Amino acid sequence: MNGRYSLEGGKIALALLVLILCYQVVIPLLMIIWTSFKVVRPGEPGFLDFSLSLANYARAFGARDFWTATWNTLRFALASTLISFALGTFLAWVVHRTDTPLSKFVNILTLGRIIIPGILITVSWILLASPSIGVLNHFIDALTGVKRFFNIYSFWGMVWIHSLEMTPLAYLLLSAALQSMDPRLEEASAVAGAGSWPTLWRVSLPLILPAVGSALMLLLIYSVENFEVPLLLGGRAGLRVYTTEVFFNTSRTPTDWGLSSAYAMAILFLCVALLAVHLRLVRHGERYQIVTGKDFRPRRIELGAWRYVTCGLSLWLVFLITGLPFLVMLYSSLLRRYQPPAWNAFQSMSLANYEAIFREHSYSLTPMWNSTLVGIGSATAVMLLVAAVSYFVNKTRLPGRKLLDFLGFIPIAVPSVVLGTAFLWFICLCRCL
Amino acid sequence: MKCPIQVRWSSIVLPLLLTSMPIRPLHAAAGQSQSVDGRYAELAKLTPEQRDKRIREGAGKEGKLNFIHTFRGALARDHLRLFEKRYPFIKVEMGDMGSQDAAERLIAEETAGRHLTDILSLAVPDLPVILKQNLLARYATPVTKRIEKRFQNFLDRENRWMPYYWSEHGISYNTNLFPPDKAPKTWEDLCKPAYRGQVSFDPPETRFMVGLWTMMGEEKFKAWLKCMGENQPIIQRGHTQRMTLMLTGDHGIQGDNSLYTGLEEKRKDPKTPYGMVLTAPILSFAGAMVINKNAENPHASALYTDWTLSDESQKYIAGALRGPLVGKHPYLPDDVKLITYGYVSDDIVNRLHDFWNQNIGKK
Repeated sequence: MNGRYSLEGGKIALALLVLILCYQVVIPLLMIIWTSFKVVRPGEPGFLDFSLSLANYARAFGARDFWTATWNTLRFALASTLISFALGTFLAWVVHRTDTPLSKFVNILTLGRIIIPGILITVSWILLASPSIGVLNHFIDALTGVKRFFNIYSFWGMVWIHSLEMTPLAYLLLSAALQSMDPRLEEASAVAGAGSWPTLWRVSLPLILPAVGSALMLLLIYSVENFEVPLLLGGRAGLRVYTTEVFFNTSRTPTDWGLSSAYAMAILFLCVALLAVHLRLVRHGERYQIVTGKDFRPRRIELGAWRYVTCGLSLWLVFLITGLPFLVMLYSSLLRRYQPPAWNAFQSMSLANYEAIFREHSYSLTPMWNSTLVGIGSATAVMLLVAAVSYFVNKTRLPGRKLLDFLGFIPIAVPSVVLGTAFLWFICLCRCL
Repeated sequence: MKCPIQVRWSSIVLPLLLTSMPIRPLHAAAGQSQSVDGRYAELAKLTPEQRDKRIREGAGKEGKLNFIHTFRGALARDHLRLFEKRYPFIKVEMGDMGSQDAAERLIAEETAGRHLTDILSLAVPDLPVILKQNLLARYATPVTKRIEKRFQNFLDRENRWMPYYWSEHGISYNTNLFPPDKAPKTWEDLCKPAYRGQVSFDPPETRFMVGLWTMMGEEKFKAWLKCMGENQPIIQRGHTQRMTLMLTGDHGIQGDNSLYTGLEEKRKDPKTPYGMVLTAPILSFAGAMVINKNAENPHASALYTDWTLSDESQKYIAGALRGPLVGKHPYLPDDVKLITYGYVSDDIVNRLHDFWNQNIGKK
């Protein structure tokens, strides 16, 4: 009796979660799809009738710009993904699976980067590596006489910044996998006579293959959706990608919602395809499970003298990822007007900008407080929702849990600017009910 | 609005919405037995004293105002503070956002039948989409007589908007990279080889292109875009960011920016190497107050709108380095040539964007 009630209760809870996710996900998605087939704006006569058109798709896909943006998006995303994956995997391995000194410090600095908004990182790197005014270029010019050594306004400049931004995410994803590896398999390999590298290649790496696949797919999706780097650098680098095409079409007056939605559909299609690959990769996750009755700690590989090399490399990496942008931001915050580092710039440093923040009490502190509340509130709500979804997906056999899993994932595939706008318009158009 | 698919929608979507949307009554245009336009038409028949009295009394009864300002941050809040100090009996709920976003928001709200915004401040070139939807009240007010003669063409014959400041796009430069004698003198000079790779623009900005088109005419505008496209222009998003980069020496010239952006930097640091080209015509458009024709607080809306042309508001605007419509401009000499313009049709806007994409955004 109690079992029947708890089963019924579980079904009701799952249904409720599905409804919530449908409201949050399916409805704006439907709005985007619908708008992409309409040539009139939301709210105008004819928007809600069935006079559908492929004109937006013809304009989007028929333009040379679209295919250029497609090619740029794919190569930008691929390059950024591979580099951030390599850097993140290296850091995760160093911190969690080796005896490298200062690994906890590296861990904190890597994760600390997540606090800094991506747009500030991008601006910091502009100030560091701009061909004319970049701090690094000034430094190299002073030392060697070589001018404009770095050019951040280039494809590889964009890839570099985005890779550094994504490395902490790759690090997080791979850390969990590396920490959950049972060392007994590696010990068994060692006992059987295999050295460190064969063990790594034939035992450790295959064990984390699902995590590797997931990480690569997620990094690729986030790279396809990245907005700040292409927005701030793409114009000068001559690179237009999907997200900037969507943005420029929605920031015109009047906003071209139909064309933006058609572009959004292209992003959606690409990301759904990547998601499908990801889900296929992890569908046999049970093959990688190890049945054991005992707890374990991952084995740390002893690197010998090489641990100082890995220490130096990982410290250098986190300096590039977190330290250097932070120093640039700190330097800028002490200047009333940004100037490249020079004696007169240092002389003009002051705390005037900080005084302005705290002097204008209601203009700065209130938004900070509001942001704190919104952050705590939304993080709590998301964690509760995700915990509930994860429970049903992983711990139950209730029908409908795969739908829940899919609905929980799909928002990754939709750029936030498009999702938010679609939601707004759906709510507004609900006056028809 | 007709909803031919009402039944189908409700059978699918209604259960979803009822489980999650808070039930709130739609705001009726409360107490609006008379339309906003009707009220304003009556006000126009009164003597100035009667009119002022009626507006104040009405605003006092309403007691509130919902306003979207397109001045940003502290600039908007300090401007509003002056109004609140003068009229403490009106509680103003203000949001600030970009002009285009404000226009879209009003349309979204009115489409939903929710009259959440009484008044907005918008750039006139961004008005077409709202005008098409016929969302604006017609508010004739005698305070517009205060506007200087040279700006009277910013007014609308149908009184759908009331201009209260103007903004400009002009050429500016870094005086360390280009001393004043080497700086460009005209818009056409930006095409010269001496400025190759040194002139920056935002990605295609409608109000800027409309200004150039108004000044040059279509054929010259196309030719100018072509020559600019061949001169390696720098395309980068963000007026403030581009100005900051130019002033640090990243590049030499701003082809598309508000002149006050650089002056604000110079205010912070007088040694800023900032120069303005005042021999080239300045492209100028108005910022205007518009009143929602379904405004729930029409008298408060009228009171605020009139106040924006008051001496204290205009003085504030000048102090913020924007162009007042009453009184002296804070930094532009009286003899500078102004090209004033408003909005153009969608067809022209689309053509301008096409020209831009063909010549400048062609990478």
